[in-house]
Amino acid sequence: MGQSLPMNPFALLFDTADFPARWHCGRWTELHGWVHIVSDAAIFFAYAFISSLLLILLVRRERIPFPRILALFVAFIACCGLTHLNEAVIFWQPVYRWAGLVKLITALISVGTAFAMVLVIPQVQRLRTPAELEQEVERRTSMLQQSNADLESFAYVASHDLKAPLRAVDNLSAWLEEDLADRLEPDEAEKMELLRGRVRRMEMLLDDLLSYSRASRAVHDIQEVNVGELVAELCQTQLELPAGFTLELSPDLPTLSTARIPLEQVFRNLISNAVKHHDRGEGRIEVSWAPHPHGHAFSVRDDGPGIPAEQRERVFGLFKTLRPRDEVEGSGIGLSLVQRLVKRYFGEVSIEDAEPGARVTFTWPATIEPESPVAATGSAARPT
Amino acid sequence: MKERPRELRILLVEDDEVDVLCMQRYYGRREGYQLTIVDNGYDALAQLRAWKQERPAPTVVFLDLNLPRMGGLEFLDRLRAEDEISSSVVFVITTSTDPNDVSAAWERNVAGYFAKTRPEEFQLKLASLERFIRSLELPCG
Repeated sequence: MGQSLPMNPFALLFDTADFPARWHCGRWTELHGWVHIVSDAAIFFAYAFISSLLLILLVRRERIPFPRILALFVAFIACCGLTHLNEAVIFWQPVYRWAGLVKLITALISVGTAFAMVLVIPQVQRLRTPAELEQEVERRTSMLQQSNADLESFAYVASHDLKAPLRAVDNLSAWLEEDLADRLEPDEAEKMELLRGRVRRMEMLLDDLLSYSRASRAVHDIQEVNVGELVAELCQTQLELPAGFTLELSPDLPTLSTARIPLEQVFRNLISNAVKHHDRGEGRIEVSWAPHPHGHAFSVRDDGPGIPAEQRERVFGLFKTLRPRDEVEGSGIGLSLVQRLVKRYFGEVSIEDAEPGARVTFTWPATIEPESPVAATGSAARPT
Repeated sequence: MKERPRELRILLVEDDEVDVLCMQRYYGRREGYQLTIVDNGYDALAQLRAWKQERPAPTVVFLDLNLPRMGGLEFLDRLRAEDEISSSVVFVITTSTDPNDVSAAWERNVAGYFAKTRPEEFQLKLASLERFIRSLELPCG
């Protein structure tokens, strides 16, 4: 009766008029029929469950190799489940057209998956087991540690051994100056003075290079440090701030249990930089603190000429200075050393404009495990 | 009348010419010292033996550690093992500040250990060393 009317394709898909339900097609025993129905239903539920789990893995982007093959598996297993569901439903509702469509789709996806598998198998074979990867990581770590250790001992030996001949030059030039004191013409005396100055500079470079090479080797003691007192003491005793400079310490500078020596080295280099590179003979240096996810963020701010934005990366390089060495005595190691020390404790150093002047901020960990950072970097230097 | 200072023998064991010059400048300007220079441990032992035979006199040794043929530490080992000269008074004057060298030298009963540093600072060390050896009562040979 409905066949004379053009049916919409969707209704046709689920139209059952042309087929008998499976129970009525052939001589089913109750048991035989239900074995099919229960098994198909069970297969459907299991496949639906498996494909859902895989789908969840995929969506959550867990670390899964070959995600595209996995997506094909999800579709393939889901479709297979659906064909089994249809097989069970057909016992009552003979939706053979719909079932055929699902089978066709399943067939396409299955064949596609099979081809994809052929392509992927060689890659799968190349996948290494976690144990193999672990070995590889260990091998590379030890290579890296070896080359770090080599580099550090090279820097140490180089700067140490370079000091011997330099000391001789230092001595000889000092004696020449002494012996010739009243016989030198003014321009000769000036050259002598330049020579002595260069020798002192070379000594400073080597000393700084030595402390740079030691920065990640030395094992530092953990102690209670009042940062305000540390900085104040540093400025009074070691840095001897020139008369025109004032130091302003923010009152909330914390007291922390940390490695005192590297923290002091960082502050010493930052504050002496601020003074050394100041464009006037007087200025203000502010040291402040803020909480930071990493622990603490300390800033040293000056009111000097500032550091141009395009130079801010460069100044962290070894031996890089912004002004000629004849104007500002400096080895150019200060900021590299700061960065090395801060990075050793997993922190960051950044430079910003402070209008006027520059602000250098570095982060410092809330707690330093006596084991972890020292063991991580120190092991390279430790004999094994 | 002022008494002439007693002659003190110094055996300088040093291979660096400039460091030798440094000592010569320092002691050359002062009275009462006889500075003898050798550049290795073998010659130093031989010199001490020879002095012992010829003419015993108060003697101190200034010893560098990094030396050709026989280094400073080996020299000290041999010296302490040789009865004739084992009581020699030795001051180590070296560029090495390596803690291993420092403790190894003290373990071999040296009378002092000085690091060669920048000229100005080193001159001060030399001056206090001189005052010190001048005020010592040394064995006569």
